[in-house]
This record gives sequence, structure tokens and C-alpha cells, in this order.
Amino acid sequence: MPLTITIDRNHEDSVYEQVAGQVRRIVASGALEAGTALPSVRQLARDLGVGLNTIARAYRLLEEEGFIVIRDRTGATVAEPAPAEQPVRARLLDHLRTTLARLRQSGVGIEELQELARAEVLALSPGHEENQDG
Amino acid sequence: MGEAFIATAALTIRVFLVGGILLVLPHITRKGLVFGTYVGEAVADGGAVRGLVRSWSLGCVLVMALSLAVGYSIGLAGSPLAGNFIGTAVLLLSPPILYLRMFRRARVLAPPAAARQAAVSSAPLSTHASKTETFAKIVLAICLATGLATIAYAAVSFRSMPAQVATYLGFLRRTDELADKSLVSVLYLPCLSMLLSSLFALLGVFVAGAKRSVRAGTGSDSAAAQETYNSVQVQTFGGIALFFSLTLTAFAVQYMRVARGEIQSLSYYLLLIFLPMLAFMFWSLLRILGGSGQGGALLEKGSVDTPLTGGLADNTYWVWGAFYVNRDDPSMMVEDRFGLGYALNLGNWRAVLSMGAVLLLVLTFVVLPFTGVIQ
Repeated sequence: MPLTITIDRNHEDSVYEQVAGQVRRIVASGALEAGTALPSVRQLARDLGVGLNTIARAYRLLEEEGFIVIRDRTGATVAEPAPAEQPVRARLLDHLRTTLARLRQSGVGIEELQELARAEVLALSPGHEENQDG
Repeated sequence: MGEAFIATAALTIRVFLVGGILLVLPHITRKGLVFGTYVGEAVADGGAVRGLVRSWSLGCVLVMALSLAVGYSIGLAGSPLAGNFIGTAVLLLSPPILYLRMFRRARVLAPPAAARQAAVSSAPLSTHASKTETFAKIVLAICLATGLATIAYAAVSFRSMPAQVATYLGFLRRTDELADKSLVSVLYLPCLSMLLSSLFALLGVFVAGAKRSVRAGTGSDSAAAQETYNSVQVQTFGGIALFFSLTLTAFAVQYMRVARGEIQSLSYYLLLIFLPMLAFMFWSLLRILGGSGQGGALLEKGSVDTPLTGGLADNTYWVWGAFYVNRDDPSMMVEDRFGLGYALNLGNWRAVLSMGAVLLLVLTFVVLPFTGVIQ
């Protein structure tokens, strides 16, 4: 059964961020194996009814982050999982700390923060997408 | 007697075929869509919608009865061909009026929540469409190559043709009309052959790249249903294109052989080749009516109550529920809300320009014999 992504034009995040965020989460959860072909920019733009540049921007972002590989002829495929180098890990952890701190500062309680973090980590666990469907 | 029987039988078959399809249409539409309007999945289950469908069915039966009554009456009065023509006109012109009545009544049922759903779009993360697109492009290449080969054969045969060539071959497969040999009169049939087959093949390419309208929710089975439906449509257009290419190429080659005096008349098999084509078209129709439903409606089981998304759910982009006009959507073709097949995105200038150009070309070639240019 094909996995689907959903965008909402009324959402505060821009469409390319929504696309990138959902593909990122699906790839990280392992629901799509490395090497799996993704729809072409044109096809995804048609299906979602958005401009080609929006999808191209999302794919470029995902490529920069190492989630997908873009090749001219074969299109986009899911990238092989690559262990992050120590400096990259440190930078990502720093981002995480900053994000958590921003959330705490904006009034999110500790328990709610823990619940949010737990839900996000669960969403990345293998088979999460399938469990959600069933 | 023979002519009257054939005209009456043809009208009767046509009425039951078209009427049958019209009666089935509301039952094979994606849930949530009612006569070209997105009313939401919950409303689609309600009594108001069932009442609309009953009215539609009653209207269709009346149209069928009226078409037969008019056709038979005129036939009995001594003009079976006129009866066939007028009966068919009633059959084809009445349903759009009936549809517009139903559309207006359905529009009232669309709740504000349905409008909010229009901001949401879902898409499958699969590449199935690329395989279907490849098939459609191969068919187009075959049609173009066969057509060009036939044109080349006609060009090579040009010198050996007599001063006058046949331009019309009747049911007895012999020459009915002659015209002076010219590039137009000789190349007309090979060009028409290539154009008609390529038109269907091109439609297949367009359909293969159409928007896949899926329901919200990750892993929704509507994506798989939509892909099956799309494959059936592309196979139908591809099959018709190949049949056209085969039949018309064989016809064009034999026509040139008749013109050069190598054979006296066309072979019987040219007429017989139409039978498998008709059977294929009927089988394809059954695959959609009884197998997939419009847009894969009959294959959506697990997700049938989750909302439709994107273009299909957005009433603002649909004129009379039948014409899709969205300048911001890069799709050239989108699934029809009511009926069978796909609709052109009239807001996409590439779609309008390319289809318009091809249709104009085909129309020019079909009309050409009636203008006296090749007589």
C-alpha cells in the first residue's frame, strides 16, 4: 500500500516545509528502504496541485540533509543511512536543545514537553507508519 | 425492411448501452462526490443524496423511453434512418440537462466543512505512474513510427500510381470515387491514420501523467485504487491507439495497392479487424464500470469514509462540476467528478494548447474530404 503525504495550504508552515517534514519523518522511520524511488518532482507537484519549484525546493532541502539522493536520470531515491560525524551530531544535538528550550520558554510544561518528545521519538520507530494505518 | 431493421436495432442497442451507463454512474462515483459537487463523505450517506440518485435514475429511464418512442414512431412513419438519428439526438442531448438539474440540487448539500477540506492535498509517495507513463510513451512511439512508415510507403508508391486514384472505398470494398493524383489525395489516408492513432496514444500519455487524487491519511488504499484505475484507463487508450494504428495502416496500404491495380478490392479481414477492437472497448468499459469504478471508487474499501483532498474536493475550481479550471495546478488532466475518465485542466495553457492543436489537426483531416480539396 503506497504511503501518502498530506499538505494543508492553511497551515502556518510553508508547503515545501510540510513536504520535506513528512518525507523526512517517513524516511527516518524506515517505512521506505534505502534506494526506494520517490515520485518525480513533476508527479508530486501534479498530485499535490502545487508548483514545481515548491517540490524541487523540498527535495533539495532533503538532499542537503542527507535523507534523499537526487540523480538527473533516475530521479530522487531514499539515501542510505549514514552515521553522522561527531561535529554534525554535536550540531544537531545543539539544535535539539535550542528547540526544547524555546518550547519551554514559550510556556510548554515539562510533562507536556516529555509527552511531545516521546511521541516524536515513537513516530521515528520502525513500522510506525504501518501501525498507524492498521 | 433490412434498412429499417438495422436502424431500429442500432437505436435500441445504443439506448440500452448509453442509458445503462448513465444509470450506473452515480453508483461508481467516489464517495463524497455527488453529481459534480463535493458534499463530504458524511452527507453522501444521507437521504437527500439517495433522493437525488432516485431522481436521476427516473430521469434516465424517461430519457431512454422518450428516445425509443421518438425513434420508433418516426421509423414506423416511414423514415427509419431519421428515426434513428432523432432518437439518438434525444438520447445524447437530454442527459446534460438532467445532469445540470441534479448538479444544482447537489450544490445546496455541500457543507462549509467541505470547502475547508479543499485546502488539503494528499499524494502517494510511489512511482507507479512512471511505469504507466512509459507504456503510454511506447504506444505513442509505435503509432508515430507506423504512421511515418505508411506515409513513406505512400510517397515511394506515388510515381507508380495511375493519374486517378480512389478516394472513397464503399462497403463493397471497391472504388466508389476517384480523384486526380496529388500529394493530398495520396497522402490523405496515411496521414489520417497516423493522426487518429497518435491522438489516442497522446491521450494515453496525458492520462498516465494525470493528477492522482487520493484521500487524506497515510497509507490510504485510495492511492492503490487510483493507480489501478489509471492503469486501466491508459491501457484502454493505448489499446485503442494500437488497434487504430494496425487497422488504418493495413487499410491505407491496401488502398494504395488497389490504386496501383495490384489488387481489385480490399480484403475481408480489414472489416473483421474492427470486431476485436469493439470487443476490447466493451471489455475496457466493463473493467471500469464493474471493476474499478470512476477514479477507483469501487476499490476504495478501507478509506472510503476519509475525506477526499485537493482538486477533487475543491468546488471552487469546478465549473458546473464538469470543467476543471485551476491556473495554479500544474496538472494537465484530473479525474472527472462525475462520468468516466479524466477532464482537462482548462487553467493549464499547455494542456489546452496541445490538446487544441491535435484536435484541430484531426478535425481538419476529417473535414478535408467534404471541402472538395481531394475530389
